[in-house]
Amino acid sequence: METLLEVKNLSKSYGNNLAVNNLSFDVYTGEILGLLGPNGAGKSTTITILSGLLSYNSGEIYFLGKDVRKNSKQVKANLGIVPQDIAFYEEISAYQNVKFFASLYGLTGNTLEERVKEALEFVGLEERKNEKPKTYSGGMKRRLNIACAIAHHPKLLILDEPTVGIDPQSRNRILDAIQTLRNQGTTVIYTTHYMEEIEQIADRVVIMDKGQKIAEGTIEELLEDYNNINLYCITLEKPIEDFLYLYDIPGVRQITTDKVKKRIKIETDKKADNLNKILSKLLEKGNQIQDMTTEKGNLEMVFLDLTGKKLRD
Amino acid sequence: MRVLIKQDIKNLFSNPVTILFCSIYPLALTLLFGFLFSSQYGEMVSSYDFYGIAMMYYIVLAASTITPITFMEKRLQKGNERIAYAPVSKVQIYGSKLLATYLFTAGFFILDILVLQGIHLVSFGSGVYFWLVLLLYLVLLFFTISFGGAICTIIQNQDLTNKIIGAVLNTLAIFSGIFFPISNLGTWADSISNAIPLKWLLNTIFQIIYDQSIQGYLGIVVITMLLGGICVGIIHKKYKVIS
Repeated sequence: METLLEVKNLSKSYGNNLAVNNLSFDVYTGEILGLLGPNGAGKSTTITILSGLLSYNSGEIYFLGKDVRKNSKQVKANLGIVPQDIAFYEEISAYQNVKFFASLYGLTGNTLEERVKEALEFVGLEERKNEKPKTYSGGMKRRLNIACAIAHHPKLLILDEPTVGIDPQSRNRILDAIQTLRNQGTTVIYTTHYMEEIEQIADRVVIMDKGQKIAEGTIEELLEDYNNINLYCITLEKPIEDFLYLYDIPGVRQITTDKVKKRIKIETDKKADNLNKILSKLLEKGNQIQDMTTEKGNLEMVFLDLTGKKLRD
Repeated sequence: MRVLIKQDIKNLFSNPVTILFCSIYPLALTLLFGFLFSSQYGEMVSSYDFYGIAMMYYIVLAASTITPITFMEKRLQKGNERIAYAPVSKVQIYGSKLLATYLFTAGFFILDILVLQGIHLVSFGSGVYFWLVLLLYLVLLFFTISFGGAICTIIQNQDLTNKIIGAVLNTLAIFSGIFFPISNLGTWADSISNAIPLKWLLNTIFQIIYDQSIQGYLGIVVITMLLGGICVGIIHKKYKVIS
């Protein structure tokens, strides 16, 4: 696989606050790289640096082997940026917006017209292209934000939390559109703190926390340790006072409870096949079971294991 | 660059306040003050002559409040930010905004002057002196547009910039006798008035029109251009596309 973007030992600080700390990762041509982390992890700072709008203290960034600092204009011409905030003019039509921003990349004449039409069709706004975005719903504005970033056919599309605050239908539409773009050959960096979105669309994931990379790999690789684990979530009628006896059951690895101690999570070896024993023991100790579910390993668990906190904490 | 300037001019045309300010406002001020003070002026130089020249001068100075709108009006800010993602330089971005503001305001102001002169309500001079006055207005406009840009890139807030510029400008305008003869308030007011450079410039315009004297004209043009250039330098240093 060809490396499109190389980030090496990138650091950026604001005063004493180290927003990005010695970050390194590669982006390969044709993949969707998910940048996952909680708010304040340094994702947006990283994206703003990659967009060429923010200087960095140390490190190197190469786009197709070229230093981005020395080839800023050439690199920018190949990037499409979808910022977290809506970034277009509300007072002119969607069509005029896409046309204006695409023309900044040197597109003119028929090519410009075709690309504008194509971008608006792609995000499903062709029929309402002559309306001003101030009349659009939140989801439509988000889609126009994407159209403004793709009309010039960028090699690398960078999206910074593009689904924040929109309805599930628009969210799915955006996620489908990103996958379609990837299938058409566009490389994508997708940042979010929603792990479900990353699991749905990303080919590889970089997990960030406090400005640092804490894990990297495909979802399968990151969840490898969890393939042999069963996670039972049991809701009890009354709070459980003592649960340490459950550790006597072969295969039980870890037990956690919620604050009121009514919901208990038991991590066990899959091979141990010990659910019956766990339930029997709980009943035997006088607990009444209200509900029970089994969870598979997910990125939330990976993050929790690595940092001791939840993604949305 | 042409695409950027075109869009920035379109943005200015989408703001009714800027259009009214540049088109109707100078004419309305001239008519209002000309009418109110008509009894205090003679036939050779009518009140409309004085206030036509003074109000155009005031409006050119007040044009410094238009640049902050082009640079950082709230409804334009997000669109302006996206421009920075494109392969255009910082100089092209702020240069386009300065040029667009200048072309927009200069276009309207020239039109206003031509209308006032054309209907013989105000005399901005005759022959070459008319063109010298027009050029002085346009040079001064270059300075005020750049000055507005410099102040807003320092303060980084359109509303606050315009409040500060408005307050300072109106105070100076009142004390330099643009709206009414300040000497009526006493000798102390007259002394203050004479110390304000805005009055010197206005007097220069009157001298060109009525005395056909161009003494100091070149110096004023050069100094004004230089000050404008310094303001552009400040913009270059302080301008941030992303706030």
